[in-house]
Amino acid sequence: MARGLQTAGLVAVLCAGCGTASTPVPANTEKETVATPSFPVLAPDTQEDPLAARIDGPQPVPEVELDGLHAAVEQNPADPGARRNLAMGLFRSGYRKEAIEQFEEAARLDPTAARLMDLAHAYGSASRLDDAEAVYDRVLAARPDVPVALYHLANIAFTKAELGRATELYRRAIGHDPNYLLAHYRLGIALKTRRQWVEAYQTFGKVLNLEPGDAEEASAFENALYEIAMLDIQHGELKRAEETLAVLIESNADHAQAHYGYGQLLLRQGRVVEAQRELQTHAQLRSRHKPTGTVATGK
Amino acid sequence: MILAAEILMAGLLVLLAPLTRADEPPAIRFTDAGKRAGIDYVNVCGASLGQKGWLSESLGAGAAWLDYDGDGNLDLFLVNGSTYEREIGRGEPNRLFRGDGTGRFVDVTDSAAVGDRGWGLGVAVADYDNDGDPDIYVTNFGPNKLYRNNGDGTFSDVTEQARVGDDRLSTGAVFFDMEGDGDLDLYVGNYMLSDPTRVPRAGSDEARKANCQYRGIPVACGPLGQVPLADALYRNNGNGSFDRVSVAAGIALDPPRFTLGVVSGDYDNDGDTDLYVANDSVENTLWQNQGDGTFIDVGLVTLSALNVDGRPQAGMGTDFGDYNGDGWLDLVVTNFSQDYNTIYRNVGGKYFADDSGALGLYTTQLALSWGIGFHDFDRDGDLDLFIANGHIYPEIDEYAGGNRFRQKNQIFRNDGDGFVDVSAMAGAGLAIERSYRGAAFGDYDNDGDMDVYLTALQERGLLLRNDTPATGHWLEVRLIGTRSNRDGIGARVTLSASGRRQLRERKGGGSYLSSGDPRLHFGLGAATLVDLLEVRWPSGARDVLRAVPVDRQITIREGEGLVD
Repeated sequence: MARGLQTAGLVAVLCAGCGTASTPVPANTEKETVATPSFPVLAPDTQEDPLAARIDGPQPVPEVELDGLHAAVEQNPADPGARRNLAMGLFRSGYRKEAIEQFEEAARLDPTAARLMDLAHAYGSASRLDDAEAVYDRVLAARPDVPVALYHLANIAFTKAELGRATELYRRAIGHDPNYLLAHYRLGIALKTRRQWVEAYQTFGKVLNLEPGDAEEASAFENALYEIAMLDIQHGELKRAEETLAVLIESNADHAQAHYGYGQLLLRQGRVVEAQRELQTHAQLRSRHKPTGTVATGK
Repeated sequence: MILAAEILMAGLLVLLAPLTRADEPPAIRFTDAGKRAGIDYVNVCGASLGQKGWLSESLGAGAAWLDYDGDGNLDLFLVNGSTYEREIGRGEPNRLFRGDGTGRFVDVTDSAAVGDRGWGLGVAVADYDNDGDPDIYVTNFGPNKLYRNNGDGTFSDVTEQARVGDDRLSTGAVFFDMEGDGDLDLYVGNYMLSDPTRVPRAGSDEARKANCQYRGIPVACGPLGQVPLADALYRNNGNGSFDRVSVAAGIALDPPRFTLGVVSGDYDNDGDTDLYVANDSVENTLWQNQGDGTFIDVGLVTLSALNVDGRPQAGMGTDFGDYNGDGWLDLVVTNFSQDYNTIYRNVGGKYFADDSGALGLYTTQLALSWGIGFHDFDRDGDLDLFIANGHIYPEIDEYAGGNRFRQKNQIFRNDGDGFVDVSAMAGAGLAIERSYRGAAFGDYDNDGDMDVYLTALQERGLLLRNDTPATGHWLEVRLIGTRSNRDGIGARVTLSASGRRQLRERKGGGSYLSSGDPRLHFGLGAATLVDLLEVRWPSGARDVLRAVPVDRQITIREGEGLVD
């Protein structure tokens, strides 16, 4: 795709040695599929909060559809699939407590990794992090090679500000799946938060050596570029940062942060008029995403 | 190009090496001095914990240090609130405690007649009528109050006469001289419309439908999606009355923002006083004073409105201070949990660089922070940071989400390269967990170091005495304006000692809903003499002192220099 073509050259420029320290790639580099969540929670928000993202999920399920899901469970209470469908509907409609009860029941009826992962994600999305950790641990006890469970455990540790533990868990996830793009990216964020600038820089560089597989990974890929540019700005490497941001903006003109970063860079260079233009673009992009409804503080 | 990249990477490694050095041994110590202090105060702000339904019930209150009776000892004014259930004017009274300079306080609220029973939030203290004693302005959820100091230990409620009784949900306020005419004007921050009949109650079905949840936890709605209230600017007419000039002065934003903390300072060194406003969940505001009584919001163009990623944060408290000694006032803003508190380095008055990560502030992510102060707590010659913490949602304790409602405060020592969190080694006073809000800084025991009083939501406040070993020398400077406003608010004091220059500016409010010691405190480290001390007054006049002895409080009168 065009984006891949545009970034390929940049990766070569930026990260000549970025990937050299990584674990050797095993023959089978396919990701664990059994436990990859189909439930849209706990996906990392690449900006700030790995647990809050996608909590809202798609549009709420209409009440009439919820009634149907309830009826299906009543008809066959021992069907974990029906329980899961109801749980998903309830969760998306904001009935989180009731949704978790259904996830718990589905996992009791069908204690597979997939159902346990559903439950763990639901716990995490409801801020029941200790419960979520316990279920992820249960998954790992049975299947120690599930990198996605390690990844989500790492996200929880990050949320709890246990940065050392988060770093270790991200690294373990990457150890099982060296191509785990999201884990590399979140590891970079954790390292940045710990002021381990060089390691963070290298880790973001490793993201650029991976091919994004979906929209979420594509977003993390772009944000890794952005993080590299911002680390360069932080340490006075303005020319290289400018190259990086220019490529990022060319690749995705709607990347609001990139415009803001570019504006900062230009201000540092005294290019005030150009800076204002970038900041205005950022403001316009940001205004598109302003929430329209009532939102709790810190959301 | 690849070679260049490798060289740059190597350069990065070299650049970063000094930042990873081991922390220096901590020296700062704080002790809970409340037991013998005699300060009987428990903040009430809405319903009790577990019963709160609206965001306004978690804002808490501020505190102020002042010398209302002119005896040289700091007194303490504490704001208190009310509940939705009580009738207007039937809340817990605000309190004034007279200090004796030894750490003991006596409640003089009734005799001083300052026990307003409105739903109080913030306080600003200044001599608005230039008669030589400090007056008190209280922001309320409801009509605000201005108390004129009568000079005899009593105050008079002059709100109506002064025309400053903003009746909305007011928060931070600061006195400052907006046009340099020698009297103090007043900026009042306002938050949001908080009408229980229009905003869903936390946990209700309406709140669920409105998505009023935080990390999956049903909580109070807002502020986003609610109705923000416009801030107000009152110009002092010099005759005891004020005119509201928000529109004429250019501070009437459309839409308004959710203001909480406000602080004043001359960020661009042009001789007039600017304002920084911390707003909840939307961009912050930097009001650049045009010198003629009008203002322009330069927050976005100076990069001080958003964080380094261009993202608005949930601004709570704020302070100006020159932490790196370059002669320019930097900014700090406290924010929500799972975020960081932000330090904006002032780059020559042109723009601000969010250097929070490089300076060590990313580690504040678990705390939800409110009161804040740049002060030299260890008297080593640079500004440290004290941060008051506490979550806004009591519901958070029902979940194991990494956050707690009651939190510890934090002290960050400035080590020259950044800020090091030394809280864990700063004594038992820093280990006391409450849901803190306001933080007022002052040397209440006159021993030359900065102490702090903290309010806590629905709990007793905390008086922390600074017991840092007295290794560094110090100086405290009281200002008396003559052509300028009597308090010298907006005056800038630059001090040189042992080759190090330091800068302080007299403020008329700040932190979170609070007001601090009217004297300017300097830590001097090993310096035993201040080589040069220069005061730049708001009038433009300058006073210069040379060879000033240390370890004392001094008074400088505009045009006369050292008078005490």
